[in-house]
Amino acid sequence: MKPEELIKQIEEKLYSVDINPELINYGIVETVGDGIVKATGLSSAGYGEEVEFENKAKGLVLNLDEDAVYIVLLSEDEITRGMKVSTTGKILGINVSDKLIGRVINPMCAPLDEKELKIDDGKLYPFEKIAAGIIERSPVDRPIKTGIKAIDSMIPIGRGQRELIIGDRNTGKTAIAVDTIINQKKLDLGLKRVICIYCAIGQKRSNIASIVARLKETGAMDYTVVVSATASDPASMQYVAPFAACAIGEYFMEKGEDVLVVYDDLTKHAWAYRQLSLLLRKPAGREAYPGDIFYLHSRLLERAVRLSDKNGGGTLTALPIIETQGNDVSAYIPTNVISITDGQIYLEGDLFNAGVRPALNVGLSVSRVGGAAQTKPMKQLAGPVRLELSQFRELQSFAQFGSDLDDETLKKINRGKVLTEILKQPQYNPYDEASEIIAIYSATSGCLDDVPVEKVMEIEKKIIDFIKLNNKDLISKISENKKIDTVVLEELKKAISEFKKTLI
Amino acid sequence: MKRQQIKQFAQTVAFTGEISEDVSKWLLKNLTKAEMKYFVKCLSAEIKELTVTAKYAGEPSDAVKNKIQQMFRDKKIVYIRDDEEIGAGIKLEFGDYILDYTVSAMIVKIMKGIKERL
Repeated sequence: MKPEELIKQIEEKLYSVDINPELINYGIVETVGDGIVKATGLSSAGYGEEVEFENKAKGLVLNLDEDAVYIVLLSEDEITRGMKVSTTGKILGINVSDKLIGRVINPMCAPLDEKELKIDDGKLYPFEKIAAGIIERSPVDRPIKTGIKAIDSMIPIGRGQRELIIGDRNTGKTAIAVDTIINQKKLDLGLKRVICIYCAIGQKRSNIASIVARLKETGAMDYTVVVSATASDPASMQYVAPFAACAIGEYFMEKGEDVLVVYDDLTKHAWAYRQLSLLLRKPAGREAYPGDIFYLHSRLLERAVRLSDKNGGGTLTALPIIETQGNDVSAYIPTNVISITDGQIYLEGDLFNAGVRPALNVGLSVSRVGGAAQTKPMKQLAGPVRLELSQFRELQSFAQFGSDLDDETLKKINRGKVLTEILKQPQYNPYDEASEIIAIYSATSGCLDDVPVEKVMEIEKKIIDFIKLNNKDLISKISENKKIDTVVLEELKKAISEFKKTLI
Repeated sequence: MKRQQIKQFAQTVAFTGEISEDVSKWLLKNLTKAEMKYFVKCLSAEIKELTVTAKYAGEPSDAVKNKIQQMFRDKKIVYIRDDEEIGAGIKLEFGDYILDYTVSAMIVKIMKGIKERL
């Protein structure tokens, strides 16, 4: 570019700067404390509007009184009594662009990974937005593969679905979410890539650091954005974090991409909102939560959507996480979020301690989208799994009688034990579709009935490796997302028997 | 006295611009401390609402003064000369609004525009 052209371009840009005087609505800070500012004036301020203080600090209007406006501070800048604060006419939002992929940011888009982040081609996406209406949506019918056998076979998650992950502390909730993110690296079954957003709310910095390290190690950061508001951040940051993650997700979704947002976790988000609401003197309701706590989570999760092809066809899948106390799913926040979402993955501490990992309670876990969000072969083969497991659970109580049971019952109990073993899976080890199908088929077809239960996991792995090495045609046939015919099933059975011969 | 009554009373006082000795005595005798505080708050807000502060640098011309008078017909206009803060131009404050016609504000806007665009 010639210097004259550059000067001309700069001049054009400078001429486009609007220097007309504008009407500024301002207020005066009356009191400051606990991150809450009470200001008088600001007669035109609206709920959820971004305001700016004299020292350029930002705030969010969260309560409008007759004589005063209550502002939540979004930074730790020093605000003093008598300071001027002015409205901006903008709803709080985040500047989003593709540059955010692979980055760790806070809800105000400040980088936390010690690298520079300059978004000059960004688009401002508001934190609060009305969710897409029914006309703009399409039914959820494409799966988002978690790579976890138990989930993909029995509780399939669809692109655009809201699936809650619920359980006590240390039951593997985050592990499921992180495994799902890692599994999106696999672009099998002809599905589109998935942009993942991991939103950490109120967690320890060390936990977030280890998750980010794991995502980097597995190469998952290439398609992931981490939005972090740690326990040491102000409650206001924790409050806006999931909305920021959702806004980033919507940016990619509106570009026609498939997006997965993990909210880890909404219990701490509810705590942060309760803290803010009490400081804002909002009337306290059950368990001291404000009356609009349900609306807080429903308006966030309602933004999960599968847009119709006319609207770009993008999807936003939400995986909110809720931490329960003492396995109590009937507490206030858990019941709220259970009723908002399209199903839940319920993890149990007892199962976790008994070595069943993922510690999935099959009876209480459900996906309301169901088979519609499952691949055809998986739907065909995983059908009996849930039934056989529920029969096993019923009969398990009789297992202690041992020899008094008839052969049929003993067979069912043994099949249940094999299935339980098959559904166990180590952390950070997501399976591809073909491996999942082989594992599940080998259990449901009875091929592993004669294998000692403690050896099932080992044999399963060997079978998968054997078939992948010797029957590549078979692998490509079952990975096609088409109904598996009897010929292929026979072939699969034969391959498993061939492997078993190698054991003798 | 109810808050609404106190507010109405403050509005009346601010509009008339004066308060008789008898009324002030009555207020001091009958209003509680909290009510007095609320009255003062309402009164200052009402005065602010009815007054336009025009801060300027240099001496504004009669034409400018007339224009301001026309803009705020039924309001009291207070002219304050502040060469140091304003630099050049005029800044109007009414209620909780500011209309900034100063050169310093324009420079800030241009700087902001340059930062955003370049």
